Amino acid sequence: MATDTPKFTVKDLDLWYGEVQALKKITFDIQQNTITALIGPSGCGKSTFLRQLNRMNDLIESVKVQGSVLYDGQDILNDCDVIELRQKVGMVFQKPNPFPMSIYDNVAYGPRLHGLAAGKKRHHALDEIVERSLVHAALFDEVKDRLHKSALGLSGGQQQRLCIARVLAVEPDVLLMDEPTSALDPISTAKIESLLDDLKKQYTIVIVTHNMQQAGRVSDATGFFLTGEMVEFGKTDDIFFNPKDSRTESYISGRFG
Amino acid sequence: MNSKKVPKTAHQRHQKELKRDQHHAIIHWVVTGFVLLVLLYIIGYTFTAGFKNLSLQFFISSDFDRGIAPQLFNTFYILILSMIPMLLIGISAAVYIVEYAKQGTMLKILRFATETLSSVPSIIIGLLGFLLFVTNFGEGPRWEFCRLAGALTLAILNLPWMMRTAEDALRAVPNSLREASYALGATKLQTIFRAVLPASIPGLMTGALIVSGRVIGETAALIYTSGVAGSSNGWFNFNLIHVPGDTLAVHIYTLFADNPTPAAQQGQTATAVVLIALVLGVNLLGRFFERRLTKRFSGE
Amino acid sequence: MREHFQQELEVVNQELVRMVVLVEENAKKAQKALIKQDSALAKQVIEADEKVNAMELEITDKCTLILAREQPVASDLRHIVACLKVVSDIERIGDYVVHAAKRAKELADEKYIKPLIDIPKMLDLGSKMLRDAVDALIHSDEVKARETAKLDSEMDHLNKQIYRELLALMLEDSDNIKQATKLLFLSRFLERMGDHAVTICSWAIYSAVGSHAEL
Repeated sequence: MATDTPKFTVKDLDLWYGEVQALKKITFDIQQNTITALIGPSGCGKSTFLRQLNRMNDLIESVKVQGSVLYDGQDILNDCDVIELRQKVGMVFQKPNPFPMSIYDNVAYGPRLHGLAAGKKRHHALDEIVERSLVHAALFDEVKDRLHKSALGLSGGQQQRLCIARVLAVEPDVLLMDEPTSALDPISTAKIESLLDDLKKQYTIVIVTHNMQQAGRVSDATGFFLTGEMVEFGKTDDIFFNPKDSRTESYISGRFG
Repeated sequence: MNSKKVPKTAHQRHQKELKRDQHHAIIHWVVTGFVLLVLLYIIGYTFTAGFKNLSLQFFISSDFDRGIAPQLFNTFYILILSMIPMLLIGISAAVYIVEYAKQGTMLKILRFATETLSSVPSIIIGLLGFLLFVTNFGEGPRWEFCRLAGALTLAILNLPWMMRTAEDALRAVPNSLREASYALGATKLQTIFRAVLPASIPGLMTGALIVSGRVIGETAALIYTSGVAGSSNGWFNFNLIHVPGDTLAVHIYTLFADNPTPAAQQGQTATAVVLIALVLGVNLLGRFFERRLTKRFSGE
Repeated sequence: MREHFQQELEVVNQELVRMVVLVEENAKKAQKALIKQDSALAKQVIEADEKVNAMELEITDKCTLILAREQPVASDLRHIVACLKVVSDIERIGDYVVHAAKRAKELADEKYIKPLIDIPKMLDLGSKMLRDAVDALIHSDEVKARETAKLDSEMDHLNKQIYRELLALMLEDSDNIKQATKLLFLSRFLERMGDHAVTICSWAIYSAVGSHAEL
């Protein structure tokens, strides 16, 4: 496991939606090539926090932010190229949201955007990127014969893997996943979970999940959010075997929602 | 003897309500039937009156009362010419409203202006077109009655409708799509052009087709802008200006207004048949595409 | 919340207590059988052990089902794991009580070479340690667990005392050897009751605080 600088260093992060404070002094580190799970009851700020890592909260007007978030040592809250950040820090959403285009065009959207397949052999290079991303997302075999058919014809689990492939195609560094399997059936969920294990070798993954067992199965580190605060953060083994805070214990034992 | 029965049991009350529902259903059917009857009567009357006057010659000839070839061409020509500014301005305005505008006075003013424009009578817009395009535009030789004037006038007339349709089409694109695009590192403009607009094409197309129906049927606004003459143009006259060009709808008017002969009446009814068939066809096409494309959008 | 789960945990705890009560009763009977040299009473104890073994299996199954269905974590999980481990220690203690009963049966027709004082004490102490250790487990009481574990030194003391006395008797008269060795073995087995109770105490600490204690 990498022991260099943490991928993300968060210090005293505060966030307000207008007058309401949604994040309170969040402080912790996310290590490279690990899967970090963020758990906690609904509305406690975990998705808000996740979206701050790739500045998606910028899309909401009333948001105010204070504190510091460093990505590879660089400040991403101020003075940062958001476009480049979002290329390096990709996001997969709760409900699969493929574009109403062909499977190929979905995966090629990002590379075309950033000119990743440029030069004379452009078409060939793009084909390669699309294939590589679909293979990496464990979807290629299922769709290789219908790359140019609409993405909306895929099942839910396939669509979500397509969204993963779409993100992988822009060659990110970090994958942010906001409850990626909550809309999927158990088998699709299992497929995506085993995919994550494979992906963490190359990427750093942060996953928000409502499902305690998923956090336990999948993650190396876990952070417990409660009403905007991070109550406890540590190795998943420790959190699930012997949590330090009684609130963490109550939550993961299912003794409060 | 007072024979007012008060329903005592729940069953009796239920029966009473059922009967009331039945009565309402009958009224609804009657009203709907009436509307359908009216529509069928109009179509039926026109078709029976005019169908016999149709002939291949009718479609090809450019004689005033015996052919509608120029009018057919003018109808499509003006349609296409008006669509260009309508689509460009309408979609751009809709993009501004949906993607950029903040809730505030600017937006309210815009909406008010649009609503007002849409309630101006078409003949007034036609007069505007006359004053602006026909008599004022053009250095040296003025534009005079011409198809470009007609097209631009129609664009102004139907712009509010186009804007509303485009706005609906853009709003129908779910926000999750925009988020997906932003999360991949796209700018706002890139997201609009590469994701939102392509996704809204089904809705835009349907809207455009339905507006086409209105354009094809427009009469008052065209009389003073693209003129009432045109048979002398012959086929495929592409002159944008200086040359008048009446459409099918206008032709129906002029056939009777200028020269109320029985032959004219035959020509009228025949033209009416073609016009109605065209409008119906475009509307049906619009509905067909709408259903097919929304299915594609929401997943097969 | 999770009332069903809470009830299931309670049921496991109650079953453990029932198992302990069974073993305690058997120990009392075995003690009486030894002192009164009552063969029939000893036979009862031997037969009752079947019930103790059956309970071990039942409790194991119950715990397994809870793991499968409720996916407990943290302290709930540690508690279930501790219960699983501890049932086999209780069952072992029950076996040692049976040893005592078997010896009672064997020696029923002989005259004791010395009055039995320390062996009954060991049975009492073993029972007490068992009861207190399982109590500590059920109530997640680390302090009680540590205190109960300390009682094992007394058990060792009693064992050594018996050894010295019996050794003396054996050296005195070689006819004593036969009975003395039986009593010696019994004493060694009873001493193991204490060891298993100490194991139960360490699992009680595991359940309470999550670490393995050297007791």
